[in-house]
Amino acid sequence: MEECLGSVVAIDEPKKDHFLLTLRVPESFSAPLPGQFVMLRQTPSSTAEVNGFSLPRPFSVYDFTAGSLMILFRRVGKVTSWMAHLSPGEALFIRGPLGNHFPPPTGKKNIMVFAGGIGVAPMHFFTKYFRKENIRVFVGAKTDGELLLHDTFCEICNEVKIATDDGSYGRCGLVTDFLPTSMEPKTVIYACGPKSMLQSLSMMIPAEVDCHVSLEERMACGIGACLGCAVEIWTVAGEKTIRSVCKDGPVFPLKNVVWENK
Amino acid sequence: MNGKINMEVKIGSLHLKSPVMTASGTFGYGEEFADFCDLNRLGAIVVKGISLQPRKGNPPPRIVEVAGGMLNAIGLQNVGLDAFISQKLPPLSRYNTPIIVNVFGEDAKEYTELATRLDGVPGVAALEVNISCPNVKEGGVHFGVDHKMAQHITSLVRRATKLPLIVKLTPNVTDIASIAKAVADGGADAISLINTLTGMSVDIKHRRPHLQNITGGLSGPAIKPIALRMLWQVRKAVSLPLIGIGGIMNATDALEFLITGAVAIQVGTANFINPRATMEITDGIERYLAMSQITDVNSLIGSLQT
Ligand SMILES: Cc1cc2nc3c(=O)[nH]c(=O)nc-3n(C[C@H](O)[C@H](O)[C@H](O)COP(=O)(O)OP(=O)(O)OC[C@H]3O[C@@H](n4cnc5c(N)ncnc54)[C@H](O)[C@@H]3O)c2cc1C
Ligand SMILES: Cc1cc2nc3c(=O)[nH]c(=O)nc-3n(C[C@H](O)[C@H](O)[C@H](O)COP(=O)(O)O)c2cc1C
Ligand code: FES
Repeated sequence: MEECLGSVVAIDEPKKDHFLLTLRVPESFSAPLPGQFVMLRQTPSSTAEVNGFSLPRPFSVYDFTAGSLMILFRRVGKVTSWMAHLSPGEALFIRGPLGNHFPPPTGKKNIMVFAGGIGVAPMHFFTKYFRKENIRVFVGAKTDGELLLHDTFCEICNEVKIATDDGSYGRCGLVTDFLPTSMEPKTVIYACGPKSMLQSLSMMIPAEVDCHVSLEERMACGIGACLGCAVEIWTVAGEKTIRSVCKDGPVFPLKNVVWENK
Repeated sequence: MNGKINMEVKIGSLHLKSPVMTASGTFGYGEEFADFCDLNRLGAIVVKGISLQPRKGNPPPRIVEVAGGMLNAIGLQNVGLDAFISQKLPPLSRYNTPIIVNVFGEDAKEYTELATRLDGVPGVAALEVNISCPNVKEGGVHFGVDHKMAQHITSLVRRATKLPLIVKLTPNVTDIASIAKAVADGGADAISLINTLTGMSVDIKHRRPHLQNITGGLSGPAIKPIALRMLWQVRKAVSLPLIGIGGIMNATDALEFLITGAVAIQVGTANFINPRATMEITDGIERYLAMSQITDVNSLIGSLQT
């Protein structure tokens, strides 16, 4: 793994403050697996420089085809605001692919994907990668204006269900409301979204059901060197231990994640 | 780059093939950067701070970016001495680069025991003693802010090891020169400075500190002028070899420290941004020397005109 230069091929804004960035990457960039992420940073020659000092930022792989890497991002602060103004031809440093990946759903019958908010990004790559499997997708957003990829998921999967907090699209409520009350043994669940969503899944999903979630934490290096992205994980022996989201994750079995106040 | 320029520097009995080293806690245990850097080109690798027992560190969020740098409250998470010696050290022996072990303790006994147990361990080239941590037995005052405690810890470690002894100073003090003198009197072979400056940042939306630990250590370009000033003050106070640290992002920054009097420098936060930073800084120093027609980096060190 190395850091390479990518150049912007296209940048679109499918929904307000949400951007789809297509980057051309060199051949040396290894093909990522669903769940992996990259760290992006400006080059010294970037046109609109992010006021001097800036750490790289982590983004999940939204899609990858040979030579082309796609990122779906939401404008929330300093670097994502800068990224929103990128134009074709501009260069970015790309570190990755980083982290582990979702285990393949091979041999499972009942495959469910839960994606909340910008958490749709890695789940898109996952569903596309395993499109031959029969995957059901459940997408949640605060409101219709922040609902992403509904059409895209409909093209890839047979069953897509939507929930919005305010009922402006699909079912009014939380995406976790779609979770069936009983699950067959060969069920596997994959999820990415806000902490609150993952935490409710952890309370609703029985321990014997396989569930893999992608976690987020503040990162500085993305390669296990700074120990900034710590998460508490239960060991097999039932003890709490510290893992790095960037190196040991970002994907963890849901039942291993230690939640505060639990 | 070329055979004519000498980049070799000496820190007491320690010979470094280049003045560019890595700063503790910013380069993992070294291996993390093997994909990006030729670890053989580094002057030395300083590993993440080690304590006797493994430590879990602080709850997240542990880092936040601020203007000109970052705050960290990792809380000295580490694998502990035994796992370090059995798991982290062996892979590093493949490289022809001195490994400097950064150690810290909660009390004088822990420092002594760390030094005793690391003495004679194959593959350990030197100790860097981090005294920027709380003395649990003495009400949590940091060892490095009190010249008596700083001298005491230094002399205990000195007696416990034959390894070259580097003491790393905290900048969170009123008079860094007096601490440097105390450490020199305690028997240190070299001094490295500076560690992070204590800082804080507030999330106005939630009216909370950005860090779960409330305060954290500031590093990055924001601290470079302070680091240079302290290096200058310490240079005037003691005659020990000095290792400059603080906000070194590129070769120009590194050269500022060398000219001010640092025999070597450590690259910290820059590694997170550019994992090849140490290589580019090494190249840049060599280019500067070539352009200035200086054949030995040692003739640049301390050449500041005032
Ligand atoms: C493994 C991983 C994958 C990610 N994938 C995506 C993705 O595909 N698309 C996407 O839009 N975002 C993704 N993120 C989150 C993204 O990294 C942050 O939104 C981004 O770093 C914000 O940078 P900024 O400079 O714009 O914001 P800042 O100015 O740094 O901060 C703005 C706000 O964002 C919050 N924030 C900053 N960093 C993070 C973080 N790492 N996690 C959560 N909140 C943060 C801050 O608390 C603050 O409220 C991912 C994060 C991780 C760890
Ligand atoms: C994430 C992080 C972890 C650190 N961990 C240690 C440590 O374990 N021991 C230590 O002596 N210094 C530690 N430091 C301090 C650095 O070694 C260095 O002194 C400081 O960051 C200033 O240099 P910089 O501005 O180049 O980063 C750490 C710094 C950072 C940013
Ligand atoms: S981001 Fe540095 S260790 Fe994970």
